[in-house]
Amino acid sequence: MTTREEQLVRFIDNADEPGIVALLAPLGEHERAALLPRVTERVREHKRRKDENNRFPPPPDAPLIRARAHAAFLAWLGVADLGTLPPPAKHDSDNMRWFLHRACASAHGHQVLLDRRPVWLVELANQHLEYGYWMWDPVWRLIIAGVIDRPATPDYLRGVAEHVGRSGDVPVDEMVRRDPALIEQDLPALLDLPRGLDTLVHGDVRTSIGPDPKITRTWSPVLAALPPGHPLRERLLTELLESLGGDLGRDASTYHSFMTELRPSPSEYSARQYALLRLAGHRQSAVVSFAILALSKVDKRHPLSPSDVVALLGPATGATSAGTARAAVRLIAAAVKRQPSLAGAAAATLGPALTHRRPEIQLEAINVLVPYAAQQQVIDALVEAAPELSPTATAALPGHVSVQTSNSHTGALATALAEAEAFLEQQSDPYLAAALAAARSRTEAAAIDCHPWRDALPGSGPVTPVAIIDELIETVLRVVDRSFRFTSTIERSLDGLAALHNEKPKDFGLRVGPLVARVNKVFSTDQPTWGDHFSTDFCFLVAQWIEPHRQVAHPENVDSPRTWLMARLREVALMIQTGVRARLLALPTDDSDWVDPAVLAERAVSVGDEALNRPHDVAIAIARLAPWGRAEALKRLHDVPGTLAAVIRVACGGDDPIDEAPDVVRRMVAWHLTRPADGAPYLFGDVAPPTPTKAEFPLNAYAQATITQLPDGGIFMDPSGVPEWQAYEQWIDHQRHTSYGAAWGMSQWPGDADWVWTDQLLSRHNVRSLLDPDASLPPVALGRVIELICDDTAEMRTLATDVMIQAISDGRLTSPQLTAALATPTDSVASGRLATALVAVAAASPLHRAVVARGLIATAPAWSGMQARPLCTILELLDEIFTADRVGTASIVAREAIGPLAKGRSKTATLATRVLAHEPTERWPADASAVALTARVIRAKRRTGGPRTA
Amino acid sequence: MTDVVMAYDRSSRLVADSSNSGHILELVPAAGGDAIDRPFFAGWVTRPKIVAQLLLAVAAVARSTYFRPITSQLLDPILTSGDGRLRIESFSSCCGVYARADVLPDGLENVTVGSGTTNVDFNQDVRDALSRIDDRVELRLSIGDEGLHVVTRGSTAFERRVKLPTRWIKGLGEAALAQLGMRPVATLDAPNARRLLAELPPAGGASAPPYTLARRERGLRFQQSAVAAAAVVAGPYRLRELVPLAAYATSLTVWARPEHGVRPCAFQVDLPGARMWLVLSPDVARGFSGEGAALEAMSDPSAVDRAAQLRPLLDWSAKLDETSLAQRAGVPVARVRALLAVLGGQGLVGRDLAGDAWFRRDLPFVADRVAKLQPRVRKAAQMGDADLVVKPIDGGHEVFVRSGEIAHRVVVHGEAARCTCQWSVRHSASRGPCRHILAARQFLARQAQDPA
Repeated sequence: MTTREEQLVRFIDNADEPGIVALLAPLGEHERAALLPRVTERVREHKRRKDENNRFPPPPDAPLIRARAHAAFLAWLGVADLGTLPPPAKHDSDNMRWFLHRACASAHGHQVLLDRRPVWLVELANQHLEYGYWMWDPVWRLIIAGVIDRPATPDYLRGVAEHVGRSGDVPVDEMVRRDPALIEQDLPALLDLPRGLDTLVHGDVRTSIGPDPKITRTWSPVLAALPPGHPLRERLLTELLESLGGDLGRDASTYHSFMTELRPSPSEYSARQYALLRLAGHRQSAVVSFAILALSKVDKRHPLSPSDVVALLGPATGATSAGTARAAVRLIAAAVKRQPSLAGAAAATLGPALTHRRPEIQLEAINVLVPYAAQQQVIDALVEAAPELSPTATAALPGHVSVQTSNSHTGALATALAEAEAFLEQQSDPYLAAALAAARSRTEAAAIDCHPWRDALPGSGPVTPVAIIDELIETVLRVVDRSFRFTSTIERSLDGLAALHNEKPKDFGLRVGPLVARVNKVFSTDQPTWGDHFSTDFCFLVAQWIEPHRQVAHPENVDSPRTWLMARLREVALMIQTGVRARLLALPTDDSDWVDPAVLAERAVSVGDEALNRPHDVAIAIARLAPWGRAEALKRLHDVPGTLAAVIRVACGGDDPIDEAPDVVRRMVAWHLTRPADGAPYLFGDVAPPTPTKAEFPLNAYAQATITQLPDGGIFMDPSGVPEWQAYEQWIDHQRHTSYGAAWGMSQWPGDADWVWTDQLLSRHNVRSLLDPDASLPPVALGRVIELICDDTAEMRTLATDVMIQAISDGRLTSPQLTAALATPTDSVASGRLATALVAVAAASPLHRAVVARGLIATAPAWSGMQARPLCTILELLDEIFTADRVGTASIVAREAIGPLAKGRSKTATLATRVLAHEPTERWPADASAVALTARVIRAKRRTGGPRTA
Repeated sequence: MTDVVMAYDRSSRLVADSSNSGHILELVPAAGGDAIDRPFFAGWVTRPKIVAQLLLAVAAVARSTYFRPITSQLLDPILTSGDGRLRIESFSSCCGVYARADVLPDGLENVTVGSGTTNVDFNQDVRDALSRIDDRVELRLSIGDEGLHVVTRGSTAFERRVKLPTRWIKGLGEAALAQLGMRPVATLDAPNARRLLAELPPAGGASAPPYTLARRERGLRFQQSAVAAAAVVAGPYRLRELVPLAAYATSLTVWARPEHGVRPCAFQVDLPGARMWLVLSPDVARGFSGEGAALEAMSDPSAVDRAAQLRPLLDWSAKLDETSLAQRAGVPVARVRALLAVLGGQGLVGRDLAGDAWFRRDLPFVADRVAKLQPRVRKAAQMGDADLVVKPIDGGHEVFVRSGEIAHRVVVHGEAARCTCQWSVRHSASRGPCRHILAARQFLARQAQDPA
């Protein structure tokens, strides 16, 4: 080995890159070639070590190993020729080419090439460009160093857009200062390429990688700084507008963002105003918004052609974005002002604005037309739009425009009063009587307070027990396949198994085959354990049926809905194991999950005290005892001996000793007799422990985990000691337990669902049950409804809004309850969603808008501090309601809360001023009374079994 | 997967009309195919902007996938000309949305019409050009080219080769059947149509519950609570391609079958001289394939044969006259309806809800394939008599149909039937009969014909 060789190897092994550069700089090609074998050997050696150490955790000397490999490739670049270097490869499986590129891209690699200037440098540059745009930068450095000519290949030109500024080492403007040809030569050539503009637009945005990614732009700041009239800038502005007019799809926003970044001047836009006007009719809303915004700027400095504006901006006035629609209307307003003869045409053009879903846009359009309301075309347009106008827009119509205003509310109230009076003459109903009195005194009717355990009605359909084995198989199949609509299917399956399990016809194997196959499939694919889910527990029950002597699962402490359900399943499993067959007492008699007391009495007579061997079945039968028919049950059981009969008599209001009944049964009877209880029915009225709050997966848990070194060199990371991890585990466990059978669990205690609303997860599962007009709506449930109105999923928000609409419709929710629920402050996102939902609620009927208005007025201090957008939504809603109902707020507290908002020139101030301008009166609207009264008549008729009127 | 090759002689394009200031949209049909009578359409459109927007909307559905992140851009739109109107159809990649634009006779002028069905090349340049069309320019549609009477595969300029999932092909045929029995459940005027489309709920997860389209004081509202007889819409965000058309809409009609629960629904947007249709599958995560609307008929070999015999009698009128067809075919009208449903499932006729009628449309790539692709029909046909055991029960039959190591119990009571297989338990009759019911019915029919 020569001294030079030894020295170079030492530099490589010490990762001394400056040393390598200095050693190679003076050498000629022959001297370099002489070093190749030894350098190649070091490259392979260091690359091998690098590959071997690619593991986690990295060894302590990993940085040195990496640096040696890099140095070896650097030396290789200085001694090998293009034929001996790793060939270009699309799929560089051993990363040899990738290491070489890294060496070329480094400052030392660049210096090695500059010192050497091999004849194959142009070819190497082309290979770099073909490899990927990230190798553009080393090529460009060779260009500006003057060692290669500027390429004109598509790879190079696309790199101009895709790579420039990526490294961040040299700012783009500095690059342009060093190399003006980038602007004068490369970018125009790029635009000449097919989809060249697209490459430039998409290459402009850079997103940094990391926990807090930042978006930076590359070419647009430089292009924005080009002087007006620069050919490249002129070309770009024109081509961008042309492209925006095309069918860009999702790319449209990228294009108009790029266009905006170029900061076109009003003059530049003005020169392209017709293109912008055409964009205002584009099918993509983002493009329309961009065009309208640009046209608004132009119109202030260089007024647009009025006829073009009126002819082309009509569709934009119906834009979903209120801002865009408003700006389009204002452009038309300016055009008509400049050329009043266009008012008639403008009236036709403004059709979408006049019927826009946002009242403010309607109002804006009417204000444009009012000065020209003498013209027949304008009158025609206003009259045509009148039925769709909001109250505030209707109020703004000129007096001579004939609009059919409805006086139907007084007629509706008279009809409702007459209907209520007629009903009350025949039958009594306290809620209807109270509502009638309220309607007469023009006050709000009191809310209907539902107590299902006391006043529930039978469900709409009976639940019939499973009668034969084939029906049982089909019913259990539905449970195992989770293909049923009502929880009564589960109850029928359970009852059927209890009653028919030892009825096995000769061809039982043939008939039960599909069920057994399905259960075996569940066992093989899900590998469930007892307690995972009610459907898999049913699979265990089926297995018990097929093999009665199987071991039954051990009992668990019954202290949650899940363990109650498991206990009931286990009781049936024990029946099968011991060969006992009987109907279950807890099988509901109707699809609202009640057990008719008279039917229960018959069941008790039939089964006798043997049923007390299944105490959870008896307890749930008591929990489901319907509020009707108890006298009949008492009569039927009058002389029936035994503890079970005594238990049912006590539950139905009798007076018997039941000390011999199982503890579970006695406690359930006690809970039943002392309702309403504050606590959970599954704890016999005791207060349940708080449920865990929602916890996200703790991303940092492993950073805080306890690390144990394993004998095989690996490590074990244990995050179980991290508090966030524990909270997450608790939440997951809670989720698992809740999802065992949320709806079935709720059905065990049909008279008491309040416990459901104490749990966030259960509330989500069961909020739909609140649509039932007979469902209890306690404050905690209403709180959950408000919470779900602000949910992240649109479906849940809509459902919660539906619940609120339904509850106001049927009288369960009135303004005092809404006021209490709205008093809880919400964050900015939630307040926006809440405001939007309240608009939807208020749109449902005059009653809804009156309730919402009262609720908002009473909570004005709570929402007056909201952010501008939801605040404006609420103020606008109040303005609409007050205009429609010809009322205003007399509440001093509300006026004091809204008053400060009315100062200044903002949209908020305008709306607040309008809200306060309505006549202060607390009169309850007649049409709201009519709707409320009609709803109570319907309810009263429904409850008395009379014909429904709706 | 099925390979489909769409070969074109050249690219479609929008060119300036040298004779006046207008433009000609030259849509190039797929090469080959005996259904094409070239040139089969040429004419001026009365509302260029609206027609351009319709074409873009249909093309957007063809390029969309509303559920699975699979490669979209499966197929170019399908164009059918006949009876003075143009129908442009497409089907989303996820198989859940069927779109059709009908350019009606009053939306066309000076039409030279032939008849036929073809795919048309709808490339990015054409879409860009259409997007720039407004009513200030005249637009002439030209489909096919008189200079290209004889085209061979070898002379094509380019081919687009796509792999069509089987369920896509089946779904497109079944999209027509999904419309059978639909009735209008709500009609909105222009302002309320615009409002409804402006309030489309955002996209939810695949398992998100469907919305009900319920009446409110004015118009309709997407809500979550159920309302009797209202349309149930799964994933209403799939209507988004109607939003750009809202500005031109004169009315919007919602169609659904008068049944409970989630079912397909259709949205008809009327525009001056045109109509746009979107038919949505009953589940975002599931397309129309597997709905099984005509499986019973398709599993009957004689019905399939008779349907094939009916096909030559179909003309290119806007509404196929069932009475006239019945007379010509020599079968009762009710039978013709059933046979047309079979043809609908095979993609050989389309359903026009507005006309309450079928129209002829030969999907270029579906014919002869759909029936073979119905796995339930195929598997039912594969079952031999030895696989079935029949026992009479009160009012019907109990049939044990062997399936692997077990036998499923099928109970047939007249028109009603149920089975113990997972498909039947999960879907009841909502997605057509399972293969065991099909096999049982065929077996019972054979027994009825030949009791021995």
